Amino acid sequence: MLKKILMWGSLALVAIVFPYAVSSYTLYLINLSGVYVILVIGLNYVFGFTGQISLAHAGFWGLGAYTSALLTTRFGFSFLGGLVISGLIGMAAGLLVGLPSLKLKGFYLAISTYAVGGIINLVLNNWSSVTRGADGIPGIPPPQIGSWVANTGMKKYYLMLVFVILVVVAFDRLKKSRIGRGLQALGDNEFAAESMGINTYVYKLIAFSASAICAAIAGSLFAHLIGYTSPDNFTSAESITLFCMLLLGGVRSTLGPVIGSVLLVLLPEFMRFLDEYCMLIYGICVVILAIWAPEGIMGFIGNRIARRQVAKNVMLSSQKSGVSECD
Amino acid sequence: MTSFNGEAILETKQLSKRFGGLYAVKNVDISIRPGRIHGLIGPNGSGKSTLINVITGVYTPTAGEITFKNEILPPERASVRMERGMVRTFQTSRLFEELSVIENVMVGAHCRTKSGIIPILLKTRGVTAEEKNVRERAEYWLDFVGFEGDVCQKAKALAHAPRRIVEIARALISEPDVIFLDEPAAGMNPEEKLCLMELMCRIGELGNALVAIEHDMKVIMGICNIISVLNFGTKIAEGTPTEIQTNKAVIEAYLGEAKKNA
Repeated sequence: MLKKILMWGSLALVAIVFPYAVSSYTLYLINLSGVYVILVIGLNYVFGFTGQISLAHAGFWGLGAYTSALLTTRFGFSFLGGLVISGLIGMAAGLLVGLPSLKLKGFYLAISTYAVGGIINLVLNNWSSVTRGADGIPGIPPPQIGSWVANTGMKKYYLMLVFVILVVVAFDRLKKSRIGRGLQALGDNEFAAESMGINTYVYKLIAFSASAICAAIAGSLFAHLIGYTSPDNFTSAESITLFCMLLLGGVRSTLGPVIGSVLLVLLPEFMRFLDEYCMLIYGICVVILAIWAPEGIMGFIGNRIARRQVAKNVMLSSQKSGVSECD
Repeated sequence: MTSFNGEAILETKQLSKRFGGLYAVKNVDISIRPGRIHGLIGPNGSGKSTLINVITGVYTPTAGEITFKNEILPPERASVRMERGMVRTFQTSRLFEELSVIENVMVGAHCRTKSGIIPILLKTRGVTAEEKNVRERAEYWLDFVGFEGDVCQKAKALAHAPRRIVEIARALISEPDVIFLDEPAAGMNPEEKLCLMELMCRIGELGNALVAIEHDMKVIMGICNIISVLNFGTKIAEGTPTEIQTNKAVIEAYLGEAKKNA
């Protein structure tokens, strides 16, 4: 217990002091990776839990960003108002895109969701009267809650920190609940899940909408963080990047998306001095990870811990037998 | 569990399932009573698994009706049938591989728990209490089926026999009225089979109805109160183990001709 308090205490301290120790550019990147953490956690609901492939994720992200951008710049909505409405629109879009997943599987689902992502991007690019097309929407105000305006990198950092913690905690609680188990059961064996009383239709739709809500909220935060949105940010290539982050960090894990996102946002930036060799080394790193840690970084760590646990249990079982809490 | 003293809890009338031109199940009448172990046997491809799939809602029947707890069942999802109180295991083990053993069993209690998304996100006291309760029940049923080992390990790490009994625990936790076991003894060694037979008897004593598809005659003849025999999708015989062993039609279905006297 004391160990836990110490660990969380020191983590909290690091998180609070951190922005004072880095340059403003690094802080900007960290804030950006916060957006990615929320996006990847969203993907974790649909791909991690239920194993459904959604390549519409960048589309949901863009939808959230544009909803917030338009509501605040044109209709005078507050930051939080825009965020909530973005989330709701994301949920609706997620449900709609989730519908084909009831019938389609694997590559077919991947292709159809890829198309949805592409369509959203095309709409953002071509519906000029609303989205201003390729010019994008400038002048989005910084996040403001009451009279508190997050107009500096540091303030934005704390705001992002709060949102990331909320999303991570929500994911963790769901994961350890009956609903989270239902979603994971569906991902592991759809037939058995249905026979065990889990309505797989409903659960697929839950996964898609939860995932799209996260993406839309991330979009809203992104718009206010950068102050500008353009269709270029939300291409289907971004959906693939999100998959890389999730696979790198560890599918289904709570902390995996955090690690994967931060690494993949920061790594290319820190290797920029290598010029053209940057992408080469980046590629090699990804390949090495894919070979040595195919279950991602958290999966790799988890396996190590599990192995040690088994060894420990074997030693203990000779002394006493009893059921212990997992984790 | 509702009590249906001696009366049938589950009945099929002229139940049929056709795939294209082939009847996998044809005009089957079967009646399942609580407190009994009902064996379902027949050569490979005789429609035993299809019958269970039709009854548990995986397939919609082509014709016929299913009466469960005095109610004719409409076509509905397998998850709804499970909620009504009929649960099954599978011919090939279908555990949730990435979940831990105890979580696998806890999934079985899904339809008997209620926590919604908002209370879960807020982690209310009710949710924590329900979670604790489900975990304790899962431990109880794992203990009941005789699972030994680490309940926190992932299901994919389990050997064959433990997988089968974890599946049974996952089915039992929902407190079903009827439980179907699809070839529970397949791939077990003689010692494991004995344990399984003993477990099946204990399940029968719980008061619910147990239906077992099985190829191992020692298991079937040893514990069943009543046996139905399927061949080419139709029921060719029904009776006590001794009656079945001497039934001419059954011997013919299995051996081709009646040379051997039992």
